[in-house]
Amino acid sequence: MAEIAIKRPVTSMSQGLAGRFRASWLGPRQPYWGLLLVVPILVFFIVFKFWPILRAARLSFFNASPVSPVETFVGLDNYAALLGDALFLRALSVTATYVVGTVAPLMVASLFLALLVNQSLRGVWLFRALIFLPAIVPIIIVPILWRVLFHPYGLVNEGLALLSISGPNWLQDKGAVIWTLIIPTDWRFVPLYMLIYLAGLQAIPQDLYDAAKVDGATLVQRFRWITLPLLKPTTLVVLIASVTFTAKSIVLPLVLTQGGPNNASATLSLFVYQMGFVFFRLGYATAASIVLLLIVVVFTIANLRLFRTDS
Amino acid sequence: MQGLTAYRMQSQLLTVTSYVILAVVAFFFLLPLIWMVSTSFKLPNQVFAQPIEWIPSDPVFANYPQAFGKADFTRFFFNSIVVTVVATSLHVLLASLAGYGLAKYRFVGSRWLLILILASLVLPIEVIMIPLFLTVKDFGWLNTYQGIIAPHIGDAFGVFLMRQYFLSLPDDLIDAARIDGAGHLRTFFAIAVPLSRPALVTLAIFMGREVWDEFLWPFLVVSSSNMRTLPIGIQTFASAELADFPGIMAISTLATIPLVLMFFVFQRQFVRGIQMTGIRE
Repeated sequence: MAEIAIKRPVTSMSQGLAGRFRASWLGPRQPYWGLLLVVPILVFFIVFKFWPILRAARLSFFNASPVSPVETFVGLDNYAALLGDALFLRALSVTATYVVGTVAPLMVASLFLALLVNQSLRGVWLFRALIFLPAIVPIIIVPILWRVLFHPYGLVNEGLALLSISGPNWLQDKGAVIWTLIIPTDWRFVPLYMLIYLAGLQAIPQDLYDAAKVDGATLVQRFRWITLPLLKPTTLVVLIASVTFTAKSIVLPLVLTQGGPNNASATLSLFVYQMGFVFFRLGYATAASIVLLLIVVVFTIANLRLFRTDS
Repeated sequence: MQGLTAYRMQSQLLTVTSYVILAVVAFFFLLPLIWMVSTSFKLPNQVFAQPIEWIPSDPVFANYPQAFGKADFTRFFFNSIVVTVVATSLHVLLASLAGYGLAKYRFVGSRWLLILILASLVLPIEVIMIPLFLTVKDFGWLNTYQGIIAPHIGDAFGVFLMRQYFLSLPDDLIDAARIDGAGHLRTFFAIAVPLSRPALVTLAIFMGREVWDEFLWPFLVVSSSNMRTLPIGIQTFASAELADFPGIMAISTLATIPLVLMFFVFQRQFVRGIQMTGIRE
């Protein structure tokens, strides 16, 4: 990211602004071609990203519905109503539980698996490939498959029965339903982040380990004093990427639980969807999506900062 | 000498333990998929039978043609191909043009343009679904290919990736082509594109997989059944045939096989592309 800074064309101070403009725009390298090359994709960004978000910002101050052409300005009412809406507050806390419950085991498990498959063992590539398979299953298959696995007599409960535990009716139990979001998400994404950790591990110079071995450092000591500190950038990337991803994700609640039972699995993104596309409260739904945007912004900015410190 | 033996034994023990743990972990990650394939060959009343028959003694192959015949999956597959091919080619073309423009030309405001494009990373479809839907609806693009495709084109990640790649190409090559009289576009297609094939392939696989897999957006813009993409078709089928578990698992297996094959063929590019998804999301 450091290279973003543009080298200014070499021009003498006396040329002034107009001269600089002439030199940079109409010079022999014809720099306006650079802009011409960006314009085609820029049109798509403007029409399908920036225009909609401006529209959302405006809409969130209105009462609007797709069935009536009348939009009434209501100021901050939508935002104020959100704060008093138990459903919205519930969605915030469900999202927070979902994110923390997913990301914490994900970080530990993906690092652990990366360490395992980073060893020079015969046939380790096969294990890498096999463990990785859940990450390439089409995303829509995840809720469809796990709906059956979480069936009262499904595979999950049968597995638990082997341990003499009687599992709940996962999808109908208010206390258990959050796990039907967390477990499939980790199932699909731990293999992915395993690979990202693996890339991080492979970037650590082997000499460091050799030197530590000569000094008599144990396996645990090498992990604690070499691996962990040098993996810090990767760890931060994994943390922030998985938090952002989980916070905005919608496929599992939308297809697997529909937010139920009793909204116990209704995340913020599902709340936005339901308000907008089921109850047609466009202004209200957009106000909620602005809140979702703020959450994504905070973590994406953190993500971009990391990119900068990385490269 | 004794220390060395102890050291060897310790490392052998570590190797054995690693294999055991790897086998257990792989088993648990694969179990749901094995169950999916196994169930796709059963009768509905055998699905939850205990003990689980992992390899059905009397496999019901008919589940596949039967499930396939219950919805127009050929059409959904065709739609998915059209959407994925068009969106991916357009994105790769436009993103590499823009990345080239930002990397190889120094013009006023190019820095701000890049920042503006990167800023769009905070606007995934989940965040702008309502106004994006209204915009596409205003164009009269609901239930059309262009409606499904257009929002996928403006993706900052591809532009950023290609810009970084073009920055690493020596300017001399570009200048030499220009001095020889090649036009701007000719230089791009004849010099820059062939030299950046690895980046282009990685971006194409990454983007192709994203579009192929996308659920939320086609779910919102498509309501007529003949415009459904494969994920939407599968979801509609699964919710219409709620109790036909073997049929649902048969369709799920069919949808998964091409991706698994792709993965084993293009393992390297696939992994690189997927590592990017992870970092971007």
